[in-house]
Amino acid sequence: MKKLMIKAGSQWDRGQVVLILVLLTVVGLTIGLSLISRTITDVRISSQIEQSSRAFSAAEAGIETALSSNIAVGPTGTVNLPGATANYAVKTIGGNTDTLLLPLTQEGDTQNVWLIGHNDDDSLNEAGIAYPVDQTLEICWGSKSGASPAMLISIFYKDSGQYKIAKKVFDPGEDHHFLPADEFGPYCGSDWPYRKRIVAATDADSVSEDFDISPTSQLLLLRLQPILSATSMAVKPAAALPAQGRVITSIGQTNTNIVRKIQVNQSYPVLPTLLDYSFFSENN
Amino acid sequence: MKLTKIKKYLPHIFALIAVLIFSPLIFRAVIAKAAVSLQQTVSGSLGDGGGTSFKLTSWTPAANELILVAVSMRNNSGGDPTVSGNGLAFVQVAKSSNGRIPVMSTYLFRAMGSSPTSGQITVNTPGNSNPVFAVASKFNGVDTSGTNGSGAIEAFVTNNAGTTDNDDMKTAITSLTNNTWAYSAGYHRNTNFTLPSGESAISINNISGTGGDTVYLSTWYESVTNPGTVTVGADIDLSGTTPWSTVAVIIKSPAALTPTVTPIPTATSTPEPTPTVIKDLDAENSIYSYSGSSYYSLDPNFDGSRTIQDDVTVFLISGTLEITENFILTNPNDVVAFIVNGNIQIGGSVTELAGLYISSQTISFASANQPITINGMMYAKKFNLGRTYADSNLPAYQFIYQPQYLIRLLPYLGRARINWQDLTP
Repeated sequence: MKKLMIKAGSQWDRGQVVLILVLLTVVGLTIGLSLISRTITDVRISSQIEQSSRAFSAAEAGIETALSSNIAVGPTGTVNLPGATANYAVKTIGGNTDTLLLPLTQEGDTQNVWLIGHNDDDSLNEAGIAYPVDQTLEICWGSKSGASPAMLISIFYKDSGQYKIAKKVFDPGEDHHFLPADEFGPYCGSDWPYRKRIVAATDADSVSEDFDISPTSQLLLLRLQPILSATSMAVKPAAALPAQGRVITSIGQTNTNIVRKIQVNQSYPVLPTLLDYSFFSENN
Repeated sequence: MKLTKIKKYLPHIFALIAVLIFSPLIFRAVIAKAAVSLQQTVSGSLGDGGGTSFKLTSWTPAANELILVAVSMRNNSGGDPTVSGNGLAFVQVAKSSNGRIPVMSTYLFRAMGSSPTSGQITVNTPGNSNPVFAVASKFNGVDTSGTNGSGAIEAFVTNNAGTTDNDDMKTAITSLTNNTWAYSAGYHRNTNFTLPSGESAISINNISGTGGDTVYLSTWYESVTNPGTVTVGADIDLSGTTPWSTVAVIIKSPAALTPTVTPIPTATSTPEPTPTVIKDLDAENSIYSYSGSSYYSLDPNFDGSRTIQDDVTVFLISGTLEITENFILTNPNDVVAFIVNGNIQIGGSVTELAGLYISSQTISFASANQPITINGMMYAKKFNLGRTYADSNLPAYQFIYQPQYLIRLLPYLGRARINWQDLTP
């Protein structure tokens, strides 16, 4: 009887061992699969990051190709790199009546709007057709909430062979004794709260501010300088503006179809804001 | 006179000083402006059944732009094509034929003129009944010597697959001068062309016609910085072995302008004024440099006028610029800029100055009991205002802003603003 009980107990122990082994196997398998899954995910993410970087580099190569070859408006091109390609296109900024958007500009800094075309050497084509002196330009600004920047508008023009400049400052508030600006936007077809319509010469419309430039003058350049705070700006012309530069769009794509897109806006050369002043001293 | 203190413009000052320090780079930049650049490309074609002529998209060439017209013909048994239009005379540069029957050929034509007209280019293909494709491109920054663009084509080479088809559409060509473009036009039958690394597409894989008569035409280029032999195209740049034929040319940029550099004076314990400007000024150049690290005196005979035109003259001076007499521009439309890595000293007898003056150090006005008028701009780290003149009705220092400097100096000191954006594809 005692022998039978001992034998039965031994079989019971062996059953427990098998059960424990099965449990350990299941746990180990779960942990292993989890680690494998995580590793696969990490590898996939790393691969995507690498592919994304490769696509971005290819897109950059397309941009650099367009920039370095000084390709003018019109052509498209393809750059082939190991494992990736880039397709780029070059288009004109401006050259039409579309509203011209200017980026966020710090107070005291300047944005340029060309009112006449350029020659190949980046000089102004004064033999070309300039923006008409009797056509309005709608200047809109005020992109940052809580800020009410004023706007210094300078028009460079040529009158009887002499280069001249006309300046006016417009302020949506009444605290700075500048000329008033419209302040009940949105204007320029978007969200700009402040606006001033200007005319280089003179017109009968009291809504627009006349700069009283001679009607025989040739407009060259409009410089916009935010005062008091930073703002982006927009210029809505009544007639076609000359070309303002070019925009290069490059799409990089890897063999695994990861796509990145870069856009570069390149303006015509401008001189630093410093040259708006006749006298500047770093010290005292 | 109350001095203006605008710290935020310090970067501009430093940038201008950097311009001065790296003046040799400026010279290179000026020279680089003459680099070849592609302006526009248009095309046209004949499909199955061909025809005896066709027109390309209308365009407006500018004066002295080089126009290259590449024509690929499936079958030229009717004769060689000719090209006309835009008021220009188109001259065949080269013809590249494959040995196959019917003969597949690539032709290249050039043209250039001082007063081209707007309109379409016409390609005449006598007796032709097969597909044809033509790509016209215009380039500026090229050598304008010769006639009809002959000076802009430094060399040409033709190549073809030979008797055995292959997928290596390439042409070796030698550039004899700096900053050229190696341009290639290639006919590749029923295969796609892949642009090799380091080369740029002008217009590739243009297709006309169907089946075995399909014409493929690609045009592309490689920038060549230094003289030497380059290969335009590469091994396995076609998607399969096929007959092909190419014409490659070297597009030559104009001779580089070399700014005259004033001689460096012999160093002495007491630097002497060296009025050497006038003999070095010429009608060709606008930028002049002086790097004597000593005194540079403005020649009293220089009045800003180097030619009968409205001139721009830029002086890059490393040392001290000394002005002892009035400097007045005889032609008020002339522009003179002095960028000085050092001091500018203005004598007591000077009462009138014209120009743009930029100093990395100090602009000093010598002591004198008389006023001074500056027609232009002055930027410096520091000013020493020594004038003792006092009059309640007339300022001792009168600055008259000249807006023309901001316009006329664009090709020399202007910098393009470039804004990069990573967009969602």
